[in-house]
Amino acid sequence: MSVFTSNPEWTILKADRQIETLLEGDAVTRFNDIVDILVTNKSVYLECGSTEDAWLDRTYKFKYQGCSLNPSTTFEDAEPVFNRTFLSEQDTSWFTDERLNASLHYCISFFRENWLSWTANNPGTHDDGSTKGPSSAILENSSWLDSDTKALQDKLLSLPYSKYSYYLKMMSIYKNHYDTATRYDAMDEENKYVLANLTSAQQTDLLTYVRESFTQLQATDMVAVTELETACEMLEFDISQQ
Amino acid sequence: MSKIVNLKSLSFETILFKINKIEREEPTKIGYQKILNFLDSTESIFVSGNLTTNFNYFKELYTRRMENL
Repeated sequence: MSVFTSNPEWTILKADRQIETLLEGDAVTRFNDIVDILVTNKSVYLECGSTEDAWLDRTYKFKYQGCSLNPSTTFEDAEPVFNRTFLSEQDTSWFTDERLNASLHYCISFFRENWLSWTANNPGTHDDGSTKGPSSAILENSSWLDSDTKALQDKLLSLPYSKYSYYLKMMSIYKNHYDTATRYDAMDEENKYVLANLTSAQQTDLLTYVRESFTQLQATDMVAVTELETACEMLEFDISQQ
Repeated sequence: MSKIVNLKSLSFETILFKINKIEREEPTKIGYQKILNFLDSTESIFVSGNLTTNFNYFKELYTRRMENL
């Protein structure tokens, strides 16, 4: 008697259709649901010819988008490749452009979680009503971050300077310095570093990338959006004066 | 690239910071020309804030400082 086994291609087809349907929707959990499908069917994808790297890159892309919309550490526990410790242990060559982009957004989503958690436990506002946040000392040594996020931040900042480093540093600068003069000075210094170390094409690419990226923050962090656009406009002007 | 860009989102605080910073770091004709370019780049911000008088004042001030060098 012959044994009937399901064709793994059908499972993949079904999974990809589910993914397409989720992408057409606007559910806040859609990216996390897609990651769930990819993780659940990982062995089938690999059986059908996908490489571990291709699976990782595809899944990681959805993972960071999920983090931006609906932060969750569920898959960090389930999949070692989503673990911040795993990421912070990789060497430079592991961080392809795609993975750097994903890791950056992943890290920033944890920045936000840490910030909300810190301010919830340490309420207080300045005279103008803005959130007080940690002291300069706490911010400068990144002790407001949990150790996994700090390790990931430090790893990303240790990689060769790029638009990703700029974006990550800008996210720190706006949180780090309440005093406007100090904050603008820090932005200006970072912009000077960009002018001195990136090519003209890289500078233009950086501006486009940062602007495209921060529009994704709009729903969750208007202060960051304003600050990043300020930095971008100052940089845009500096680039035009070269 | 043109020396004038169309900046739209800066606060007046940032504009003043940038002008002062350029003047402090580059008190030369090139620096003052940069300030004038920056003012031209932010003109629409002054206009939308009904601050054209202030814009003209700054333009005259930094033109004069440049010419006095």
